[in-house]
Amino acid sequence: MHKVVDKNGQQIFLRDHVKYDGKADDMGLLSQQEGMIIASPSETKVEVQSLEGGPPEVIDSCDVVVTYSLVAKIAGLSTQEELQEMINNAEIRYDKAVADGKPARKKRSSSGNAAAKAKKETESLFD
Amino acid sequence: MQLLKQRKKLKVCLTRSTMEKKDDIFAGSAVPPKKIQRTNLFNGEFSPSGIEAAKCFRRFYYTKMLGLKAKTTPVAMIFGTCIHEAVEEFYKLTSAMEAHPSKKDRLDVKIAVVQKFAEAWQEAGVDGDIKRNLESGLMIMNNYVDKYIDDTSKFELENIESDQWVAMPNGTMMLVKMDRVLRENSMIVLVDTKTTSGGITPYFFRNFENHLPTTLYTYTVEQLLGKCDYVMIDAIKVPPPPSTSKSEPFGRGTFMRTDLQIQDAISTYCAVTDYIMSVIKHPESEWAERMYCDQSHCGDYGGCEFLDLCKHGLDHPTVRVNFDIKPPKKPENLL
Repeated sequence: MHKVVDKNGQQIFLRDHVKYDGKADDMGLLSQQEGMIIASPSETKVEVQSLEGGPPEVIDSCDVVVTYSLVAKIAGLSTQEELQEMINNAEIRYDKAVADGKPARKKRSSSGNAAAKAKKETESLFD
Repeated sequence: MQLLKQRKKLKVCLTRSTMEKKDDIFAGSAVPPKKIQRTNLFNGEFSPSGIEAAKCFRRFYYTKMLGLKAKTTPVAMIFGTCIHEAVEEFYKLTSAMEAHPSKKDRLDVKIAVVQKFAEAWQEAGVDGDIKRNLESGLMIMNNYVDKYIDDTSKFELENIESDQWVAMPNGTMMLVKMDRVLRENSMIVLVDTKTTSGGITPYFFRNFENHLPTTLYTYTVEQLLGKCDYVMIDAIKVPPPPSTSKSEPFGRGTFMRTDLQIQDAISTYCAVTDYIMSVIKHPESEWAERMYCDQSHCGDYGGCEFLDLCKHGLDHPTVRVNFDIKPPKKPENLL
């Protein structure tokens, strides 16, 4: 793997959160976007997935600024509290991701009950 | 604690540059870069996993004779490899520790192990998916350390992730890569770490009752150390079960290997390798036909990666698009 750095010379790692200028709108205005690094195809390019969604973009690494780096945080770990906080956050995000990725369990079909109810109602009409 | 000091040295390197750490780390450390040993069947060299792959000879032909390797490695496999590296680190550190480690030592080990995972994951250069990613790897290793930090097994460093060559009865050589071999109180135990996406249940462990590679590892340990009392499977569930799940994240199972099982494994090994060695004596144009496809394995592990080649032949564009070709070196006297 090659070393890739951001605008400030800070090394960029996978899953780092970054800020960068998005594409210009019809009026030519640039909006700042937040995204996550998903790949670094070369020493000067990074692939960013916008947190707002949409397809990932390949942009120059000198156009991004790292705002949060989990890898840098892991490398700097030194206390139990720091580690525990990191694990707790990871667990919350993991549980959420797993729950979001899982299709909601369908409720059991109530058609059988509905049919029985309808039959009962019909029968009651003739009583 | 020399090993922990070494880890700290690695940690400094990781902070400086993970992406180019390979050269950096090994430049100033006592840990030499591990040279990956590979087998070459044209020299009569085989491995237990290669024999396992030869359940379908055609698959063996593609991987070992033609040297086809998929350009993209599945995330699950990369994740499992990184977990393996972190587990190896854990045992290197704990084997050098006293029986009842202090709170500080426990924390140092835990940090070193999660950092090892992060290091391996960065080196692999993949983002992963929702279940197999950097954070889930940290969770697994954090929990693994919590569960096994008081395991009193002490492994000698040379018995962790060791590569051994063994001469086999039919004149071939077998390369065995063993996770750990425990020698304690006159007991010798072979420990193999296995990651699994399925549940760690009695059904999972039943797969290892007569598992060919594990039996060949046992044979190797017997050849090297005179005996192997039993095999222990150290199972890790990946991806980790969510906190609401009742699944076991880890589990261990032990198995005996009888003389009969070992004899059977050697017979299987010899039958398979004898056949392959006989095939390479024929002209190369006949290899594909002689290394026939066993269709009962096409669906293994979610579908064989070589299915398109069996369907359309080696001229199919899939070969260039999906595979790297690195043919093994053949001796000059081969037909």
